[in-house]
Formats: sequence, C-alpha cells, structure tokens
Amino acid sequence: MLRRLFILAFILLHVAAYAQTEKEIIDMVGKASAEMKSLECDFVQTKHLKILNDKMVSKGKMYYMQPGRLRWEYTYPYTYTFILNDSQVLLKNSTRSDVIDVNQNRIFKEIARLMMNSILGNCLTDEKSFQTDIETKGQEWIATLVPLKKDMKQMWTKLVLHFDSVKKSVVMVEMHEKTGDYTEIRLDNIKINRQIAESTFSIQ
Amino acid sequence: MSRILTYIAVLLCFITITEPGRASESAGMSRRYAVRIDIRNAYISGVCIMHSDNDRTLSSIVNEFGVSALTFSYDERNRKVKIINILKQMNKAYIRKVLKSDLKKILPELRDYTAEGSYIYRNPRIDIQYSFTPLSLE
Repeated sequence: MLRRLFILAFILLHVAAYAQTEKEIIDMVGKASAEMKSLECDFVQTKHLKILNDKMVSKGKMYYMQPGRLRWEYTYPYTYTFILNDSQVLLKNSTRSDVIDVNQNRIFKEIARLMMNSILGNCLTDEKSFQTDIETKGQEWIATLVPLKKDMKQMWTKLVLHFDSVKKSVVMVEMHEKTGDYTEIRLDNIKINRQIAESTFSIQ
Repeated sequence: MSRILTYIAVLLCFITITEPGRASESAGMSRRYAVRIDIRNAYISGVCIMHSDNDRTLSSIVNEFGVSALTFSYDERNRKVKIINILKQMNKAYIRKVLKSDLKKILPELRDYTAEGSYIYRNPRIDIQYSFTPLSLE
C-alpha cells in the first residue's frame, strides 16, 4: 500500500512538472509576442495534395506591425496581396482590388484574427477555440492545436505551430485537413522589431 | 448564385475538401494555370493543377492561400466530368450541374490550347466566365 502511494506520488509529481514546463513555454511565447512590435520575413507555402499526389509551392513576403497590421504578399508563381489594417482588409491580384470591412463581415473577422494569432503564437492561449499540446523537439517547441469550434473543425483536423525556442517566434505553420491534404508555411529570414514603413499596410 | 460565390471567395482562405486514397500516379502531362471564375460581382481565383494521362484528367482548383475549392476528373472517352470533392458552400445541385456542364466544354479545348495568353470561356446564360492562364514555374 505504501509502495503504491509512493509510485502514485512520483507519477503525479512528474505530470505536474511536465504541465509546468508547458505553461512556461506558453508564457514565454506570450511575452515574446507582446514585445514584438514588428515582424518581417519571407515565406514558402507548400500545399500537399494527396489525391493528385502533387504539391503546389508558392512564395512571398510577410510583414506584421503592432497593433493589428499584417501584409501577406505572394510573389511566386502568382502575385496576390492580403493586407489587414485595423478593421479593413485589402485583397489584390494582378487585375482587381477589393476592400472588405471586417467589422461588417464576421467570417472575415475570424479569418483575419486566426492569421494574426497563428503568426504571433497567440492561439496557444485561446482555450475556447483549441485544445493545445506542446512538446519540445531539439531547438523547437511544437504546439499541436485541435480545433474545438464547429466552423474550424470543418476546415482542419489540426494546426501545428513550430516555434524557435531561442527566438520564441513561429518558424512554421502546418494546417492539416481530414482527407490527408495539408499546407505548410515556412517562415525564413525572420527580422523582429525592425522599422517597417506605414505605407506597407496601406489599403489604398 | 453570386451571393454564394461572394461568401465562398471570403471563406476560401481556410476550407479544403479532397477525397482520400486516390493518389494519382499518372506519368502523363501536368499543367498549372492561374484560374479565375467570375460571376456577376463575385469571383474565385487561384491555381488549377491538372494531371492528364491518356483519356483521363484529374484536377484540383486551389485558391492563393492553398484552400481547395474543387477536385474533379474528366473522362475524355465518355466526355464525362465527375466532381470528386467540392467546397461545402458550393455543394448545391444547381452549382454542381453548371460546373460539370461548363467543364465538359472547357477541358477538351484547354488541353489543346497553345495560344499566348489566357484561355477564356463564357457561359452567357448564367453570366459566368472562366479564365485559365498558363503559369510559368521555376
């Protein structure tokens, strides 16, 4: 009986220690995110198509500036720009531009919020939207987020965020779908807290 | 129809549907196009990835963010389009009917299209226009 209690206490302490580490990671990511005034990087987006046994690679640049400005620009193999500036979104391709007010469009508001939170890692603390598990793998913290809300569950089975444990910032995002298709977005040449011109986020 | 397409264009950022267990091992032709489907005031844009092998074409239309809107096959011998997967919001009988009918006309012409610039097909009855522009890849 005493031996069993000892084993149980050992297991509980081990679990408690693990839970503390995950919380510490979330806290560190949150702190780094709050201190991030700006972020600039290149990205490579790879869509893996299971049914075609093929993949589609796109490249571009991303800019973020506090408190809620994001520019996501594809440069290869097509030109396409998504700009979020406060409550407005600009979608622009080679032939057309559209401006959307996210406050008038609940779905776009959710999409914009998710994009920002994924890049910053803020969705780790969104317990209403995701069930989160974090593991450490070499120099990376890997957070697996399983959607809890119906709309998101229809879109993805899970999101996986890879964090550089030194910079405490996202370096890769994976979005997995029910059928085996998935999209990887890898961030390269990451520059944090550099000056970014306001015109980068212009909706005009 | 146009309201649905407007809604879909907004949602396409994060919605993907494909069918498992049917990986293509075609050794035939692979083509990619920048695609755009315009209907009245709404549009869907992205990339169309096509694999053609002998009598069959397998294709996916994916938007710029990597969200799949439509996966379909075309049997050239029987001139039959089969929609394998489609975005939930587009999964209405009349939308599927229009797409199948239009793709049946588009795909044979697109396969033989060698001219410069975009291939454009217009369905005047529904006021819908499809544009396929060959993509230059590295």
